[in-house]
Amino acid sequence: MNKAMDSKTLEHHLMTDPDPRNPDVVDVAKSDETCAAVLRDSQAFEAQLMDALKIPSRAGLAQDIMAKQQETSRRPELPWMLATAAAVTLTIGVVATQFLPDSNAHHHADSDVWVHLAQHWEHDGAQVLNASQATQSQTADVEQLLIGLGVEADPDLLAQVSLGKICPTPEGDGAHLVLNSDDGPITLIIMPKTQTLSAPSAKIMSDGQEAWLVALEHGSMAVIADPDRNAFEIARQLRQQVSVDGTLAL
Amino acid sequence: MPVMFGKFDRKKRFDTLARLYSDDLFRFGVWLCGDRTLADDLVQETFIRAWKALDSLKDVNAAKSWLITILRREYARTFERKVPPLVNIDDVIGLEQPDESPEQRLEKAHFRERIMRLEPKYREPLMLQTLMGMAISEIAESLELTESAVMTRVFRARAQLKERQQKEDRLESRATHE
Repeated sequence: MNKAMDSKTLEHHLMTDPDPRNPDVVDVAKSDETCAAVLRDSQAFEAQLMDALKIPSRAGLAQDIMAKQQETSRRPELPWMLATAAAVTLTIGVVATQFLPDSNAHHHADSDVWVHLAQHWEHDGAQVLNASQATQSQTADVEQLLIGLGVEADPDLLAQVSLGKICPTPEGDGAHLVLNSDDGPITLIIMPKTQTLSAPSAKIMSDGQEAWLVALEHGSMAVIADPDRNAFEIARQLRQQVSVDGTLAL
Repeated sequence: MPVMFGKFDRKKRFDTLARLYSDDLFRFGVWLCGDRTLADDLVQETFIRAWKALDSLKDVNAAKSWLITILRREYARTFERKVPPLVNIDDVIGLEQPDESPEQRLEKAHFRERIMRLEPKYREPLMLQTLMGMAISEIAESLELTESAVMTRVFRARAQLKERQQKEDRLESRATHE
């Protein structure tokens, strides 16, 4: 390869990969003055290019993004906060260990769901909880189960599922999941086709477990846990990790 | 109440990404669409989508490519809704370095015009390589091209910029002599 070809090859290379720290580039520039000139020209061009490209960004953009994210995360919580007082009142009102359906006409649809959940819980709630101690569902299987129901769950949530199964809901199939947490298991029942009122409501189940029924954008879910577990807060967090494909759920 | 499902880490990861990449994504967005306001919206929307899908980002080293992919998709959606007007890039650059001489500003403005006149298929990989510091292989993955196609495009982008610069220099020199 002659000298002219060397510098041409280098020029071609630098127009594709202008990194001047490349050892081959450094070597050839050291050994040949024509190549050294080619490298200097390339570096001058790249500096000019970078200078032109590096337009000023907008001050405070990152801070605005972080603030907007917090605002977006908080927004769905507002109805929760407004509903909390009513829901807590409802919980306090239910002192009996036996589940009683809500007689409020405005919550008629929800009371139907509560009746179903109570029967469901009595039927196999404790049994599934016990089974989850001995059985471990595969994350991929749980994900597939949920996909089949048009449900999408965050990977963090999926990773916590110790047992998942299909279950009946007031309208079609749903998912009955047991989640592992440091403080014990939590039951999550996702009802993709069962729409409830937007305000969360709470009941004490027949065995003393606290249950929250929560509307999703499409469908609904129930979270059932020991009364000292703050199931409301758990449900609030889980709600952000579950979504139902509205088109599939119709 | 224990922190569940790594929510705190998720927020920290997100904030780190916003601090690290928002400015570069904004610059990339401006060069992509030629509009500071639209670029600002694009970057904010990109991060909202990134927040929702953050758990799918398994490799932190791939964060930049991942964000660029989200931004490009978002821009494609915007483009489907309305065609952004053709603009002179220098009109949307905004504040300049105060210590630059008028000649330097003019030279930079000409250079920017030449960049903006590049066809998007040449300009975009050049932006990714120069502005975003991406390797050829990363650009190829982001743009769904072969590596050799990316190499050809960044080569042609530079070749066209140099060619236009030389042509303008010749015209300027001729005008000075006349």
